[in-house]
Amino acid sequence: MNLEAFQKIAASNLWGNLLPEIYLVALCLLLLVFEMVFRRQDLLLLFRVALWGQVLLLVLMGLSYFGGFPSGREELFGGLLVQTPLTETMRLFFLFGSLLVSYLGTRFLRARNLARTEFFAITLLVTAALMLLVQSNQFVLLFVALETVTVGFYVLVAYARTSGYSLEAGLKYLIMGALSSGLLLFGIVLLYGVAGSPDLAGAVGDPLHFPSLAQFIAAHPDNTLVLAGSLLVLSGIAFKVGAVPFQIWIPDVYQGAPTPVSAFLAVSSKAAGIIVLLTLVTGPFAALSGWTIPLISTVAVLTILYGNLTALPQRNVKRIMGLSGIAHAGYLLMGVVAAMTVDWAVGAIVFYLFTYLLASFGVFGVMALLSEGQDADQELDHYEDLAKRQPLLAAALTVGLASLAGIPPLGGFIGKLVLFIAAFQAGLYTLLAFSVVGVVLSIYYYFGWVREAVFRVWRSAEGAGSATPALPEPRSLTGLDRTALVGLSVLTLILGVAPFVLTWFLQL
Amino acid sequence: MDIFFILFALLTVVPAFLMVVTPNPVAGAVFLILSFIGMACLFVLLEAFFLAVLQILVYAGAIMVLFLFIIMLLDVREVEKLRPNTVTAAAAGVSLLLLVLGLIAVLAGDGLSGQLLSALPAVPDYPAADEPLGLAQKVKAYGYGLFTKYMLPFQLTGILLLIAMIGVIVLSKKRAAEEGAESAGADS
Amino acid sequence: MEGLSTLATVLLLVPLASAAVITLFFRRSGKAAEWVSVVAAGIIMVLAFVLIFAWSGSGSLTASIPWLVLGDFRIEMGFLFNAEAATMLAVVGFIGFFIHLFSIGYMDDDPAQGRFFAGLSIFMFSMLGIVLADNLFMLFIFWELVGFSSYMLIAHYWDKDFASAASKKAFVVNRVGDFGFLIGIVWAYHYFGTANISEMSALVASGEKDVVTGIGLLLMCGFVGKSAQLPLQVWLTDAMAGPTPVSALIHAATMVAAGIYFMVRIFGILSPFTLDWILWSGAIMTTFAGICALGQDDIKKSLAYSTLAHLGYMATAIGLGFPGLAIMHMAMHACFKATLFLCSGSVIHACHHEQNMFKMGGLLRRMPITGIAFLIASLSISAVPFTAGYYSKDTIIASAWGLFANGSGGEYLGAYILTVLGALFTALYMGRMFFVVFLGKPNSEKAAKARESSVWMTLPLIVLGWVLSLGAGWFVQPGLDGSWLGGAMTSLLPTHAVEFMVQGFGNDGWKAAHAVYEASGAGWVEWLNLACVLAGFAFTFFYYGRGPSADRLEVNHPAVFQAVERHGWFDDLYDWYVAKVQQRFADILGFLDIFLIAGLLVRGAAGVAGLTGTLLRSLQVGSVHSYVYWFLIGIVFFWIFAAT
Repeated sequence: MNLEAFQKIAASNLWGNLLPEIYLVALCLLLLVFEMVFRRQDLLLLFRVALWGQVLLLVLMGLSYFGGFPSGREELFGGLLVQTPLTETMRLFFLFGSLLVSYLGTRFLRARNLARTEFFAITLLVTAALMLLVQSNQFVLLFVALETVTVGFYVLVAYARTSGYSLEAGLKYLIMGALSSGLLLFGIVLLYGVAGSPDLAGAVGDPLHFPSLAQFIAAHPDNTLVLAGSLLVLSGIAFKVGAVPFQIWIPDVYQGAPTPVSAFLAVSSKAAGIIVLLTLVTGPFAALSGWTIPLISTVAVLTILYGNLTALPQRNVKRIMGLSGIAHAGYLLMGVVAAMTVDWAVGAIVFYLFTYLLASFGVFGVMALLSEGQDADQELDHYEDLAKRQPLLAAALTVGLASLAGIPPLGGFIGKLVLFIAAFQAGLYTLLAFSVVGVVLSIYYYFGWVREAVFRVWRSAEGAGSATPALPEPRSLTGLDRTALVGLSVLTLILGVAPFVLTWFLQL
Repeated sequence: MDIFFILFALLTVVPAFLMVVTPNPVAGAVFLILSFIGMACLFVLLEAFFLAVLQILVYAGAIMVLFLFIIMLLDVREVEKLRPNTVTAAAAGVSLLLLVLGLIAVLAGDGLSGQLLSALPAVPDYPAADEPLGLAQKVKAYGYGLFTKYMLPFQLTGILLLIAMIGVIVLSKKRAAEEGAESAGADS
Repeated sequence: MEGLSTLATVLLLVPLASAAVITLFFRRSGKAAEWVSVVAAGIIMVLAFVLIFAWSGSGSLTASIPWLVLGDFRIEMGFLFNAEAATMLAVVGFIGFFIHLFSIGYMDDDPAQGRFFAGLSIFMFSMLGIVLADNLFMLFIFWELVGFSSYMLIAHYWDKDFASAASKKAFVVNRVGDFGFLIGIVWAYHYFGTANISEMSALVASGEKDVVTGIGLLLMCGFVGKSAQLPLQVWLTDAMAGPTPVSALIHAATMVAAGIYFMVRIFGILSPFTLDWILWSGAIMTTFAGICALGQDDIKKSLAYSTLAHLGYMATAIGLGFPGLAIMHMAMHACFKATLFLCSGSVIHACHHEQNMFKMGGLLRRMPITGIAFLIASLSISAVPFTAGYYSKDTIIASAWGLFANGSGGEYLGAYILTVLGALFTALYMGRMFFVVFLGKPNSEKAAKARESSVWMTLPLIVLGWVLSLGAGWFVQPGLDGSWLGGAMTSLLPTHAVEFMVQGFGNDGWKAAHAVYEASGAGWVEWLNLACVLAGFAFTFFYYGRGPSADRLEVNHPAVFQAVERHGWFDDLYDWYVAKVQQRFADILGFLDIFLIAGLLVRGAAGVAGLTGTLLRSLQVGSVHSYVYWFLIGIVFFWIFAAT
C-alpha cells in the first residue's frame, strides 16, 4: 500500500483555510445547544446570537484581509478544493446573503408559530456548504456540497408547514431537486468511467479532479461518453441556476416558500449555480466550447425571454420576483458565455451578483415586512400607495426595483453595463440584442410595481370598493429594519457610483 | 464471467422495473431489495467485496426495513387504488425508449465493441496499489482513502445528515402553544 | 495644475460631505442641518473664487483619472476647467451661497428642514459635477443627479398633491429629453471614439471629423428637457410648487442654465443646421413665454415664464454663434432672476404663502428692501441701459440685427424681430408684476399685515438685488467704449477672471457680438429697444393701475386672457395625448397581456409557461409530472447541441 501518497494528501488537509465554514458550523451547533439549554426558546437571544455571530464572522474575515486579500490559486485537500480570490469573494457573498436571510428570518418567524432555532441552524449549514461548493475542484466534493445545499433547501422551502403553499413547494422542490441530482450524478459517473478508463489514451489518475479531467477531455472532446456525461452535469447545474428548460419549478417554489427562503434561493443558490457553471465550462469542459458556447447562448436567450415574458402579466409579487429572477439568471448566463473568451467577464459576473444580492434583498425585505400574516398571496394591489403609508419601505422598494431594472445611477445599471460590454467584446451580438429587449421588458413590470407603490393610480369608482383586499398595516419598523433597508439602498447606490469597487471586482 | 454478469445485471434491472410498475407497495419494497442484492452481486464481480457487503447491510438491510415499517404504517389499500395516468405511462415509456436509444448511441459510438463498458475501473481512485490486495487490506485502503483524501467530503456528509435530522424534527415535531401561551415542557 | 485639480476635487466633495453629514446625523435637527449646509455653501463659494483667481486665465485646465476600464472601452472621470466653466462656477458658488442664506429665513417654520438642506447640498454637488465634467458620460451621470435632486426638492411639500404631481411631471418630461440625450452620447462616442469634450472639439477643429447634425440634435434633446425649451417647457411652471428658494436656485439661476451651459460646452461639435434650430427655438421662446407670463396670477409662475423667455435669449445667443455671450447672459440672468425669485419668496413668506399677485399690493411701503431689490431687478431684466441685463440682453438683440444687416441670412431677421418683441413683453410682464404687487393698497388681510423679512432674507436681496442686478455688468467692460468709470470696477478683479465673458472663448463673446452690431452702423437698434422697454412700462402702469385687485385683461377681455393663460394649450395637448393616444395604446397592450401572454404563455397557478404550449398542456396531468417532462425535454434539447 502506498502510505506515502496518503500521508502527502493528509498533509494538504489544511483545515485552517476553512475557518469561515467551520465557524458557521460551530455557530449552528451553538444555537442548537442554546435551544436545549433555554427550553423556552428565548427568541431574542437566539436571533441575536445568530445575527451577531455572523456579523462577527464578517468582521473577522474583514480583519484577516489586512494582511492582503488572498491572491493566486491554491489547491488544498489533495486537489479537492481550490481557493482563489474569486472563491474568497464568493464566501463573503454567501456570508452576506446568509446574514440577510437570517435578518429576514427574524421578521418572518416573529409573526408565526414555527420552530425558530432550526431556521438559523439550517441557514448557517447551507451557507457553509455553499462556500465549499464554489471552492470545490473535484466532483465528489462538488456533489456532496451540492446535496447538502439542496437537502437544506428542501427543509427550508417547506419550513412554514402550516401553509399548504409551503408544503406543496417543498414537495415540488424535493422531486425536482432529486431528479436533477440524479442527472448530475449520472453525468459525473459517466465522466468518471470514461476518463479513468485505462483503455483510452491519456486516462488520468483522478478522473474527478477538474484539471485532470480537463486534460482528458481536451484529448477526447468527441468521445460520446464525455458528451453524455458533461451534458448531464450541465443539466444538473442548469436546474440550480434556473435556466430554461430547467426553470419550471421556480415560480411555484418561490411563491410557496417563506419569503426569506425565496430570497435565499433566488440569490445565494442561483449565484452558486452560476459560479459552479463558470468553473466547469472554463475548467474541465473548456475543450467542449464548440458546443457549450452555442448551448449556453441559446439557453441564455430562452431564459431571458422566458423570464421577462412570463413576469410581464403577473400580479403576485413573489412570482414576479421568481420569474424575473429567471431573467437575471439569463443575463448571468450571457456573462458566463462571455467569460469563456473575455477574461475580465468573471469579475463582471461577480459584480452583477453583488448588485443582484443587494437589490433583491431590498425588495424581499420590503415584502417580508409587509407580509405579516399572509405570505404567498401578496399581490401588487397590496402595494397601492405604499409611499403614503410607509415612505421608507416605498423608497427602499423603489431603489431595489430600479436597480434590478438597471436604472442609473444604481448598482444594477453598472452591473448590466459591464456585463453587456463583456458580451460585446466577446462578440455575442445576438445574445446582446435579446438581452436589451429583455431589459426593456423588465422595466415595464418593475415599474408597474413602483407605479403601484409610489404613483397614485387612478381607479374607477366601483373598483375602489371591496375589490382590493386591504393589506394590514405593517408593524412599526424597528431600528434594525431601518438600518437594513437604508443600508441596502445606500450600498446599491455606492456600487453604482463608486468606480473603485467595480475596478476591484474586475481584477478577480 | 459474462454469464454471471448478465445474470446479475438482469437481477438488478428486472426487479427495479417491476418495483416501478407494481401497484402493491410491499411488493415494490421487496423488488427493491432484490434489485439491491443484484447490485451487490455486481460489486462482487468487480472484486469490490467491501462495497458489496455494505450494499447488503445498509441498503437491503437497514434502509429497506425502515421503508417497510413506514409502508405498514400507511394504509396500503389507499395507495393501491392509485392508477397511473395513461399519459404519464406513455411519457415514461418514451423516456425509457430515449434512454435505451441513448445507450445504443453511446455503444454505437464505440463500434459496439463493448469496450467502453467493460473498461469501467473496478477500484476507487485512491493511489494505485502495488500488488493485489486481500479483503482486509482493501477495507484498510478504503479507510485510508476515506480519512485522508476524502476527509472533507466525509465531514460534509456529516453536516448533510445533521441538516436532514434537523429537517425531520422541524417538519414533524408537534409544536405546542398554538395560542401563544407556551407552557413549560410542552415542547418536548 | 496639480494643486488646482485637487482644489476642484475638494470643491466637488464638500457638498457631498455636507449632504452625508446631514442625512446621517441631523435629519431631525433642522438648525444644525441648516448650518452644515450653509457653511458648505460658503466654502464652495470661497473655493470657487480661489480656483478662478488662481487660474492662469487662458487655455483650459484638464485632469482625469480612468474610472472604468473594460478592455479597450474606458470611461474617465475628469475636470475640464476653462472660460465657461469659470463663469458657471462663479455663478453656482456665489448665487448658491446667497440662496442658502435666504433659505435659513424662508424655511424657518418648516418641519422638514433636514431633508430640505440635504437636498440643497446634493443639488450643489451634482451641479458642480456638471460644471466640471470633462466628458459626456460623467456629465450625464451628474445630469441625472441634478434631475434627481430637483425632483426631491420640488416634491418637498410631498403631502400636497400638486407638489408630488409637479415632481412627477418634471420627472417624466425630463426622461423624454434625456432619452434623446443618452442616444446622442452613445452616437457621439461611437462616431468620435471618445466622449471627452475637448478631444471631440479638437477632432472637429482639426478637420479630422465632420460635425454630424444628428448627434447635435440628439444632444440638444437633453438641453431642451433640462432648460425647458419648446416643446418640453411644460414642467417648469408646475415645478414652482417647490419652496421658493428652490425655484430661485434651480429653476432660475443654475439648473435650467445647465442646459445652456452644456450647449456652450459642446459648441465645437454643433453643425450649422443644429445652430439654426437652436436659434429658432430660442427666439420663438422669447416671445411665446413672454405672452404666457401675462396670463398668470401666480407671481412665481409668471416669473417662471420670464425664465423661459430668458433661456430663449441665451439659446438665441448660441444660435447666433456667440456662446460666450450666452454664458454672459446666463451670469447676468442668474443675478437678477435669483433676486426676483427671492423677492417673491420674501413677499410670499411675509404674506403667509399667498402667491396670487392680485391679493397683494402696496407692499413697497411695507417691505422697502424687498421692493427696491425687485424694482432694480425688474429694470435689469428689461435691459434698461447700464443695468446688468442691458449689457448682455441688448447685445443679443443688436447682434441679431447686425448679422442680418451684414447679409448672413434671413433667419437672423426673424430672430431679431422675435427677440425685440420678447423685450417688449419682458417690460410688460415685469411692469405688471411690479405695479400690481408693490404699489397701491393691500388687497387682502395677509398683505396688509406683511412685514419686512428677517435679515437672513434681506441680506441676499441687498447683495444680489441692490448690488449685482445693478452692477454685475460693470465688471465685464474693460477697455471698451462706455466702460464704467474707466474700467475702475474691473480693476478690482484679476483681468482674466472677467475677460472671458467679454472675450468669450475663441473671441465669440460679447466683443465679437458687439463688433457685429457696430459694423452694421444701425444706432437705432438700441434706441428701439429702449423705446420698447419704456413703452411697456408706461402701458402697464396705465393699463393695470396701481395695486389692482383683479387682472384688467381678465375682466375686460376674458377670451384673450384665457388664451394666454392656457399657455399655448401644450398641457392640454399632452393631456390629450396621454389620455387618448397613450391610454388606447395601453388598452391594446392590456388586451394582448390578457389574451396572448396570460392566455398562452402563463397558465394558471401551475405557472407552466410554455413556448411549446399545446403539447405540454396535453401532457399536464398533475403539475409535478409535467415538470419532470420539462427536464426530459431539457436533456434532449441539450443533447441536440452536444451531438451537433
